[in-house]
Amino acid sequence: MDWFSQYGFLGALLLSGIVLGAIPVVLPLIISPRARGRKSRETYECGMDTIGSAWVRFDIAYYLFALIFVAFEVDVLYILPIAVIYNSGTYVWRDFIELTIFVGILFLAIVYAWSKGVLHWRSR
Amino acid sequence: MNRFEVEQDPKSRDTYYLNMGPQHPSTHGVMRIKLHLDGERIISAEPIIGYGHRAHEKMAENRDYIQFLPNPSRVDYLGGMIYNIGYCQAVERAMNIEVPERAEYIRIICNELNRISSHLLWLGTFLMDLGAFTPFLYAFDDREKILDILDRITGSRLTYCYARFGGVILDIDDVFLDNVSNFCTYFVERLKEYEKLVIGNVIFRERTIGVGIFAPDLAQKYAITGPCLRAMGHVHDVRKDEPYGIYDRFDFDVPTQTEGDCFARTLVRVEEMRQSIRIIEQAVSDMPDGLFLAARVPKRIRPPEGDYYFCVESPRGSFGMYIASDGSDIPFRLKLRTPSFSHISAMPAVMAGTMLADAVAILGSIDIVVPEIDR
Amino acid sequence: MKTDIIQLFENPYLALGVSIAVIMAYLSVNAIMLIWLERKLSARIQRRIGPQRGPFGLMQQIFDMGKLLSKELLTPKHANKLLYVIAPILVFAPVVALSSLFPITSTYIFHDFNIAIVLILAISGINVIGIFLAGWGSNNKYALLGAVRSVAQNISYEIPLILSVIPIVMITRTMSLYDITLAQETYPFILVQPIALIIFIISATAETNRAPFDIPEAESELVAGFHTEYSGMRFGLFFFAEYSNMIFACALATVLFLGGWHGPFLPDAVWFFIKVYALIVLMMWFRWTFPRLRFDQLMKFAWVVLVPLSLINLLITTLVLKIV
Repeated sequence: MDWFSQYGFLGALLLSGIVLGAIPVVLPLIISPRARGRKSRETYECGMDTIGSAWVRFDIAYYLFALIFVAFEVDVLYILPIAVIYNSGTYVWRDFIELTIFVGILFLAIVYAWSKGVLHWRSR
Repeated sequence: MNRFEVEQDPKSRDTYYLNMGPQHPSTHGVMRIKLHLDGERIISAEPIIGYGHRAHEKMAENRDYIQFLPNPSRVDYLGGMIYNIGYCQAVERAMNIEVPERAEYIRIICNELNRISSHLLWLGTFLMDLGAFTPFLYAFDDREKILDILDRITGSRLTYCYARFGGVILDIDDVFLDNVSNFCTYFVERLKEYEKLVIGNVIFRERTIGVGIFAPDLAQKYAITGPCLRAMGHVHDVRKDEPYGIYDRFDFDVPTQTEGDCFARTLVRVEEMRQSIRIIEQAVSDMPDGLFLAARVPKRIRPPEGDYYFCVESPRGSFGMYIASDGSDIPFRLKLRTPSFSHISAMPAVMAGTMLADAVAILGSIDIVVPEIDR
Repeated sequence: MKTDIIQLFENPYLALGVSIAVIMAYLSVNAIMLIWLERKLSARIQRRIGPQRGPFGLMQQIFDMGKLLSKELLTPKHANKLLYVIAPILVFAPVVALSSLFPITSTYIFHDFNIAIVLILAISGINVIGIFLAGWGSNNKYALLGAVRSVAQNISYEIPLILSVIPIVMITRTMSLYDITLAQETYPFILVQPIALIIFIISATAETNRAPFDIPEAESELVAGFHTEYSGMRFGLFFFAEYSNMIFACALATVLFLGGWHGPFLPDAVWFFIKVYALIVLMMWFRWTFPRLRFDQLMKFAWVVLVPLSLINLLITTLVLKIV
């Protein structure tokens, strides 16, 4: 029972979210009318037939953001456990200096991305 | 499949074609722009027009000059009064019909009120294209006041048919003049509010400054006129350069900016509204008594054989009418030169290389009226 | 003293059922009320009247719900059926679990996790996946554009969001939301971390895809963004999730910066909700006042302004904590 009172409870709530989300999607199948138009199931593109599929190789600029994000997110999550014990023990100034170095390196990452032009949208 | 339906190049999987329109929130009507995109960036844009074509020019060839009177205001439904009056002035000039003083003043007031209402609608929709929904309703609220004023004397709110050859159909009264001067005092204050709300906004500036710059040679290539041309630094206004009606009697400035971007176009239009108010105030205070419709207008409108060209300043640019007359009461050919058509032709050159969001901003800032493009 | 819902009912399964019922009842009413509030508020800002059905226009949303329920669920011919169908459910799924994490009163709570902050950030991340699946699965270019924009925006604003939370964790030395609220008994943390609050509100507005950061669904460019192809109740789920996420963002801001349930005279829960809805009104006010940013400007703002600002704020906090 102990697992359940901890994360099992949360997991059960998550699962229930999926079930509850499925109900309103299933319900209209029973009560809604059906359209018979030929074009009603076409992809919407402002009333014209689409030109080619949407599944194209998309602009790289977005993926660069994803790459910086992955690097950053992991680093930032490392700070959280430090934050919990920050200034609590016998660290004196050590924790401050270490955190400053860590954040400083994070800063450099932005500076690097900036200088590489990731944040400037390619023009032409 | 028509010639515009180019198949996607199978070798290039990086780029794609996107239809913006005919049914799209920011094309302001039934118009289509085919965008060739690489991610968010526009490689090329191709306006495809004709969805709202109603053959106004052909209609003119099948009916006499009087029967064509209701049509011009349908060509540009936002500047209907200016088009309606402009058409009458064109025929009057061809026929040498004298227009009474009072009618000329009434026409000036109606013209400029119409110009303000068109610019207000533009301001609202332009900001809506940029994602700000609230100014749209504020602008419409003020526009409604103008429509009410014009509705009282003309009987219609959008597609006016108020002018006649030799004057206007109905006389105005003192209530109208009071309404107009009340509106002027009210609107000058409102305009300051708009400037504070819109022009000063940081996000608005970010979105418009340096966006959609018209290159200097573009004006000549595509015959850009109106506020778009004035935003590029050219002082050109038909009302000043070749005054028609009695515009030469009024004291007003032609506002210009030099940058030619969306922000400059906004500033020019906002300032133009202020100048229109100045013209209206002068016209109201100088309003003479007399006839509102010339006493002796020929029963049959038959311009002498020959070609006539007449040009007025519409809210979007110079609107020209070319009348080829063969001496009968039906025009042999009536060509309408509409500013929106010229501006939309310049779009491929302006939009190429910008981002998708900029395309919407540019399209909004040039103030197109789709029926005017298609005619 | 706190009592969580499992201790209260002593039967975990009963507790689970009650939790789901309470949360869903609250969220449904909340979504309806928020849509009503947004429409009435926007109407007031724009000098309109707003919805008029029923008393104060309250029935409008009920009817809208009925309309959405009775709409046909169209699946586009060229879409990836599986992704298309599961996407709205995935966006909706975390809503229930997220609601259970907030300490609304000082006595009864759903459950107090000692890593609640990390849990909230993790669970709310599921949302992004749902949005991307919706955009990609639709096989619609507008939807695809909306989806990639949304993902890039969400991940970019997540960094300043977390960075603005860390100073609070440093001050309180705990990640439990209950303990963080307790630590604000004397004064709310808005007084010591105003910059962090501003960063948090901006990032949260972006995370919930609301104007002026609503470019994923910018209607003047992308028609409807990632949910262009969705109709009926599938669209309703996106809508529901959006308004629920607003509540979570504002509730988290309330707990972290505004002192949660603390406040004089009124009961705990009342104070909590007053603060939450005040923040929500602020977010709605943003939406109806500002134009929309362009996408590259938005990204630049996140990485060039917000992230460095929050890092500096973090460093200053560490320094001050050492000195004081």
